[in-house]
Amino acid sequence: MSKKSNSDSVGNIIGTQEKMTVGKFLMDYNVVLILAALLIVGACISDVFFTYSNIMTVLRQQATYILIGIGSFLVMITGGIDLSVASTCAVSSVVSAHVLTALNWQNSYGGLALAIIVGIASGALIGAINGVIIAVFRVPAFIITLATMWAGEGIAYIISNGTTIMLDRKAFPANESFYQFAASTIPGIKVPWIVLVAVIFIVVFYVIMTFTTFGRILMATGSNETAAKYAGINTSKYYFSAYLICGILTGLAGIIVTAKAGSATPLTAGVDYGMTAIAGIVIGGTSMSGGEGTIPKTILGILIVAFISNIMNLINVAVYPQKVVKALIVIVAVIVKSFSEKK
Amino acid sequence: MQESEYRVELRDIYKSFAGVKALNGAQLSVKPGEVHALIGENGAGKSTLIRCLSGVHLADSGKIFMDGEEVHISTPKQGIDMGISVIYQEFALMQDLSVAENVLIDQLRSRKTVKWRQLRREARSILDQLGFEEINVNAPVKTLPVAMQQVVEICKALSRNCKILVLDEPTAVLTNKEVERLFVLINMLREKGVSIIYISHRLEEIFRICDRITVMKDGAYVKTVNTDEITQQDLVNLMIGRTLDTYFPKRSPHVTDEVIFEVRNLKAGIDVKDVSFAVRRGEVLGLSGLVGAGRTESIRALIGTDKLEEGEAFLNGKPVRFHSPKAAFEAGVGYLPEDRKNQGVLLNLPIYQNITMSALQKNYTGTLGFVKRGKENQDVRNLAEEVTLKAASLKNPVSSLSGGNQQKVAVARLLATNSEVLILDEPTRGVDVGAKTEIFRLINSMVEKGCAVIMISSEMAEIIGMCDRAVIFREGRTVAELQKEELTEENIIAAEMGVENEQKI
Repeated sequence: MSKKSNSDSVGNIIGTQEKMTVGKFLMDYNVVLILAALLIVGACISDVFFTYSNIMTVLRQQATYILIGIGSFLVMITGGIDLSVASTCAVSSVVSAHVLTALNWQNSYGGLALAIIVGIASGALIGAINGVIIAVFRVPAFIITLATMWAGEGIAYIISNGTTIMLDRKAFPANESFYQFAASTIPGIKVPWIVLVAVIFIVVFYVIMTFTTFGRILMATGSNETAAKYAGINTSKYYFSAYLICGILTGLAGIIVTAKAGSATPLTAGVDYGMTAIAGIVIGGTSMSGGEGTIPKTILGILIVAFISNIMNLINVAVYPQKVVKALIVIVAVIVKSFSEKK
Repeated sequence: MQESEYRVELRDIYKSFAGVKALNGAQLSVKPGEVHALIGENGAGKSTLIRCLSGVHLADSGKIFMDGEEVHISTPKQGIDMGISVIYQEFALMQDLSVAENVLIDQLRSRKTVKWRQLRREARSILDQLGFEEINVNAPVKTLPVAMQQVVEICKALSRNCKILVLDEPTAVLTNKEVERLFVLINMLREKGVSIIYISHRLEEIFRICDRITVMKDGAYVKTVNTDEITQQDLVNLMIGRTLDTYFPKRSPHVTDEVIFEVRNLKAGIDVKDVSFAVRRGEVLGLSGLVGAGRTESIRALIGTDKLEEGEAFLNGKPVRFHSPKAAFEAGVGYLPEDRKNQGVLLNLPIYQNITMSALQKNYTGTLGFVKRGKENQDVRNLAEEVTLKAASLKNPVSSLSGGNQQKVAVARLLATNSEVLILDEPTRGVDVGAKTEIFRLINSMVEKGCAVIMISSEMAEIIGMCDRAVIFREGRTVAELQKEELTEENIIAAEMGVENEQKI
């Protein structure tokens, strides 16, 4: 194109485009730099860290966190928060295992597929409940998702009767395939299948956020709801959609939890999915008040949290101090973020 | 030290905000025990002057004297300590605390234990002195009617030993009966020697209660007069005569006879009581009125952001009812909100996304919900050129632009929707002179294309310079309609303030 030099300048050009200074570079790419630093630190501290199998183990663990993280990201882009994800994940996990065993759907692959759909649908239902109450009744997201967090945990315990639902892999080949899907890797490149699933969702949602009307309006809604409304946007619809999608992705994460374990337990509701997702999103630079943030940075944020845990595991830091360290990292990330916003 | 005749004197106060002169040699002298009216058009600088007195703003230059002695007031706390209390239209009360706690709020801040019984007794005695025995000092403030909350505010001021009490439009929220009681109260304070600065648009009240009147215009002092030596009409004449410093681009007349949009008898909330107007194709209709006359509120009810209680709207002769700005846009009625930063633009999003935001779903969404980037790029560039946007890159956030250019982005967003009826609410507020002229030129091109433009403006010069016709709002009602040739400052102010011999509709 011949007009490339002034392709997006109009009329009289006043002011200059922001120069790329060292400070701005550090601000824009801080998650990349932190992750790189972590990988180097990890490699120095432990011989095992920078091995293919360790990295893949971490990524495999993170598949569920990434799915939940993408859902939570959409919610946080609207300025909301979803505290119910761990419970939703447990409900989906337990519901899918329950219909497989109690309704005897494990006989066939069709039944397995149906169980997966029912599990995801249960997540979608919780997301839809969150979404309707937040979008229509304008209840603060913090309160309503706290309530569904409790309700979801309770439901997971009720359905499972408080026990672990085992999937019999010897008697039913469908169960075995389900388990193997989560356990095995893609032949040749040795990347776990569930990591591939996570990558697909990362790409899909990156595209949605960047290139579609939906993504753009979701961002506008979070940026300033009043202005978005005046611009002719039905903001309620977008609040609802964010929580619904979060529920669906969390439901899918629940299915993966079941597949990985070959069983389902209501204890999943106590896993730190929600807090880890929020920590990763915040470290990735997403604004808690909405309207700002990207999928790639969110993923990098989640991986930073993951690799910090991994490094601490490798150097035998006990589990409890690990939590304190993670908390400190989140605090630092939030302070840095609020500093850069003030500037 | 020499005794001064005046309790407070403000001399030659200058104050600018980002290069815009808000006060340009303002003066005000108030005697002890005097009720002194401060009047002027919208934007004459009354509020800014009061804020300089109370310490909210620091004047760029000028002197403030209290009892003949020069003082420097740089924080509201200092102002209060010197005995200056301002009662704004939005009260500064703690809604959940009791009347007694609110009246003596300063005592709650001290480090000593609060003696509740004494606190209640003191509050009681202040209220009793003013003749408000019926107010329960233990009641939470939120349970009181507005008029009584105002009394609580005044009592709070008295507990602070206030010598100068500023009342900003105190009667706007009161019923006639309550106004009478307020006047009794004001008289009582006057007898106690409190100096009262009374800001109001209601001339008959001013003539009833005030001893002297200071008129302001364009941030400057005009004149101080004794109330009994001036008529309402002369007062209006003092307020007008603003210089037309903005250039209004000419447009050839395009007004047709075709009524494109009409509203009848709108009623919504307390601010909109009975509003009717109609706009024709090719016409710029001005909605004029004092701040709080219900112009913006009428439009908000019309486009569904506020609840419309009664009334009808017709677009091209067909009845319409919009429940959201989205529905209004879809029907071809576009609204540019008055508060640019909070309502008009999405500050942290890129310019190009702002421009297509309102038309995105309808015109720029392709298969699978993808944005048609090519078409968008093309249109955005054309629109940016049309509104003569000055930007380094259309990908920069709107926050990187000047106020005038931000407003151009908002106007471009409206243009992108191809609306037939464009409602512009204070389109030039906070915009520099150059951008103002550009926006006027855009309004001209809108009506030349056959749109109808409804413009809300508090600047009389704009109404006179731009509109083919104007509808005047007063206290929630459309009270007069002025044709192009009748649009003079005198006529507009007279209609806005309800001076006798006003135009009949």
